[in-house]
Amino acid sequence: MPHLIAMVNAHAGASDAAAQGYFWLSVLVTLGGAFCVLVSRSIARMISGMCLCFCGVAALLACLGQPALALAELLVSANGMVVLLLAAVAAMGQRQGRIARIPRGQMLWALVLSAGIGALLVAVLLHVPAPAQSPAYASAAGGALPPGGAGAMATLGRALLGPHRYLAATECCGFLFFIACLGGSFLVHRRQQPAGHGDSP
Amino acid sequence: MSTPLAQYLILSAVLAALGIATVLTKRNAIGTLLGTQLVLAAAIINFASFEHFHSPARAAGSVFALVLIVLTPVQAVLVAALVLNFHRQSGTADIENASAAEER
Repeated sequence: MPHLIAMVNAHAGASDAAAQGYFWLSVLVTLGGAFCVLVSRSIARMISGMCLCFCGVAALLACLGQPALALAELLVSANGMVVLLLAAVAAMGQRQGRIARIPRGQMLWALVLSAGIGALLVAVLLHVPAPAQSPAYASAAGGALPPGGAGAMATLGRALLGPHRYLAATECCGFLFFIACLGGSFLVHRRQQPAGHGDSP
Repeated sequence: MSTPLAQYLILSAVLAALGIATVLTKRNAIGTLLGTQLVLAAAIINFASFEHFHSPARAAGSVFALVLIVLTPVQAVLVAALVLNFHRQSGTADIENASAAEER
């Protein structure tokens, strides 16, 4: 890993061109996914486009020297939201008897493949240094920072636990989100009231 | 030569415009939800880029971006619950039929 970092630092000109290419590729993926969401009529295609768009946003966050946020975007937003929406669509279709049962072997292969892709993404984000590491981060921390986003992670930790006291606000937001999730599950499990219930005779 | 702030801002403006267009043109509730997610993604890019270029030491942008990232699946949970409930009653996820189904 140190050899790779030394090589990256030695070829600064080449890494600038690579950073520009990485940025424009991320822009292409982000806007392509958003355009797919806008123009497609099928819900499955819209969700696939949204997943692509989230991957592009994660790449842009890595471009901005925020690999921790990029990981969160990939793991929380892309995976969580897309899996949840696909489950909702499948539940709607299943009620109408449109979705066939998935064979067990196919499900196993899909799980193994998606876990492998997720592990690969995490490994790439954690081990490849960010292309556009800001020198402002290094000056804020009083010197050179280790690459791979450790500097940004330390800055985020200082913001949460330091004198700005963002931790309490973040915890309050998390608690509200938890209550919202409980409300959502209550809505799904609520039984439909029979017709005429509560009506005057 | 690093990428300037203006390029990130133009990108997020285009993304937000695409999200608003999606919200305005989709009749399906899930399509409308995905449009709002696009607008949120544009806000996340704005937070991260302003922090990167203007106040990297405070990291306030990262904190707000983190909250927005967590907000995304929570919003999806609520909308999916509402859509499932509505679909159970009316048999469709088309939000333009919501008022008609409610009157029935």
